[in-house]
Amino acid sequence: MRVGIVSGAAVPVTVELLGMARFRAGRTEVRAEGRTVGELLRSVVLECPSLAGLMTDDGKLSKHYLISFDGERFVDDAAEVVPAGSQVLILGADAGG
Amino acid sequence: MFGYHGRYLRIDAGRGLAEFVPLPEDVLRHYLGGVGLGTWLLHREAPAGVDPLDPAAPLIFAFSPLVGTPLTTSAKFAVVAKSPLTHRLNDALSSSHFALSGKRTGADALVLVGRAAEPAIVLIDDGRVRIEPATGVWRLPTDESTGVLKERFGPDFHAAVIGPAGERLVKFATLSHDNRHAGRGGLGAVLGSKNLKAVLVRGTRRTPVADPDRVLATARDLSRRSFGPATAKYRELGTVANLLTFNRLNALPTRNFQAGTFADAELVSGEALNAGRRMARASCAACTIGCEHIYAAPDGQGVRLEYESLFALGPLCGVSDPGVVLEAARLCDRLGMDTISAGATVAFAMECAERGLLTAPGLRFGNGPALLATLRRIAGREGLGDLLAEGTRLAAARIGGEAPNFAPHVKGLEIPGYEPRALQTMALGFAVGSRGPDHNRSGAYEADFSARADRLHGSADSARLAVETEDRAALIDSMILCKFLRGVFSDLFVEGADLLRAVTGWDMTAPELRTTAERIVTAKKLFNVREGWTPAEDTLPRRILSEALPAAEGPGARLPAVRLKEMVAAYYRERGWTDDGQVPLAAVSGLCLDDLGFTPAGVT
Repeated sequence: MRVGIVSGAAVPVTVELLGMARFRAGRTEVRAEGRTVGELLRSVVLECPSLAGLMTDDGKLSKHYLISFDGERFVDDAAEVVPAGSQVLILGADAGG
Repeated sequence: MFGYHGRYLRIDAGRGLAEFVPLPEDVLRHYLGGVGLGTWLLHREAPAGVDPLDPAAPLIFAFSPLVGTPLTTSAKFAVVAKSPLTHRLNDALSSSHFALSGKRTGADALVLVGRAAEPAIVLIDDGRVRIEPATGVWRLPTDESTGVLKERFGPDFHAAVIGPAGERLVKFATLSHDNRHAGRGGLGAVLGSKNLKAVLVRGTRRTPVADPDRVLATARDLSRRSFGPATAKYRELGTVANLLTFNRLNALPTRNFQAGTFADAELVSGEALNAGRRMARASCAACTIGCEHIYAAPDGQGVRLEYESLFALGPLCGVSDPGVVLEAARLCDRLGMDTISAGATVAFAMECAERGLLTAPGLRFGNGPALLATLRRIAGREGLGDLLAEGTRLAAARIGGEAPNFAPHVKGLEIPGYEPRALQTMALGFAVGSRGPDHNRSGAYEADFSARADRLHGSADSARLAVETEDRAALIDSMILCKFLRGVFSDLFVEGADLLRAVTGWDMTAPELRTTAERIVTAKKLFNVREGWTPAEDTLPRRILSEALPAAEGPGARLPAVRLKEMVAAYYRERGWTDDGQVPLAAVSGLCLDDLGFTPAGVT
């Protein structure tokens, strides 16, 4: 579950999927890599095409999903660098009920 | 007037009288309908200081200008009263044919006062009112009552009914319509206190809209968007999908708020329910989303389950058997009890029993049969159930000792399934909410689940975010539309103004609607002030403010009392209120609230 950055290159990591992301993907996690959040998500989509809605056509993060580092901090910028050692979560964005 | 009848129907169940009372157009424009209109009516109709279960206390059903239009999710109604659980304003929403037929009776709202001499039902037929004995339905569960009434009066009548819990004045009894509930705050007990089992409505009086073509085009567009990704979760998974997510974020209230994760979360997760028990999907009348997910109980019967019921009757009570949770949810629905308060009250009792504060053999976390038995005893007010039927605040005061420290309520209302220490903007929303802690009146969790807030370290910056979500909720609840639509709007105030312009013909603008939302939130606050609110109420249980939330790794989240106090103070500032949370006279006048007939004392 760790993202590691070695000399500016990303190493494959495991990303946790929850809620709609898990439902769409039909799995609980996916292996992906990327230096930034955007790169990471593009890698996730390559591995798991049913998650194509993770990003908009113009490369922004979809408002229908949430991306979190370590389950504590949420991210809204695709250009943000994935911190070394972070756990990355993809969640559905809608609560309520 | 377009979109409105311009009057409400006032029914005195004790004297057997009914009359239409005019509603001025400026009042309707200022308060719209639903929660807003209900709040205005409560100010007008409730005697100051009235006991919520006194015959003079009004129970208000408020419709809205959008009811009866083809706009998706608009078939909704609000129920407003002084809560027997909190002694503060309570508003709850429900939906479907009661809203459509209720408005067609020819009234924008129904106001019930008085107390029938014998158990009775009220029939409103195109504006004509009859009060009849509740023969054959008294003591029946909500679903059976509805069936009997439908058979007796025909399918054109639609009923809001209470279950045995409402009849016995359980303080968190619901009002049920087609198994959807105006759930929170004990509105069922208010109807029960009037010796009324049900209100049935039928009517033919439609209200014209100002621009039918525009309404139709908007309705088509909104329906199309309601099928999009913003509502996909509600359609495809249901709200039960929250459980595993919240568990992962240490935000799932567990064992009476002693933890934020539940070891057996997978067993009762939405994913497990969908994989093994899902039977069907359903929707309210006039809704294109279809968020209701029906799951099979152990006997094969279908039970509708939402996240709040799942968390409260599952992890909060330490129960990991999905069959028990489904049976408990069905029991609450049939007996007419709010699942959040019912689950929280049993969880609180379980902790009291484990700590030796209550003598209740077997009432322990994780004991499913004990949960089910206790729910039945609450609805019947039998033994310990009689104490628990009063809700956790009063029960804790009577139990004494340390019990009040971990009674999971704010202002007397039990906390929903969002752990405040893990979602600290939401914690602020819970603390200041006029009806107590509620995820439907403050959507501040949306800020916690975003880059805009640090969910584990709330700050004064949280205040603006909490105000924003509270205002949006007030507008949605007054127009009325379903909150599950909120994600389809790019700007709720702009699109809301468009909708209302087309329906009412008023030259509504987004800035006017922002003021309207602020007015409604402030009017609710003023009612509470009138009824004795003090700043000390805007807080959270001592447990939340003094104990760290256990975490698997490292120090758990903390929400110190001083931090919450700073956040509450910032919220007051953001609202333009005084340091001690009072509404200044200038704000009363500026928001045109003078006609409420209440001027806060000692405020300039």
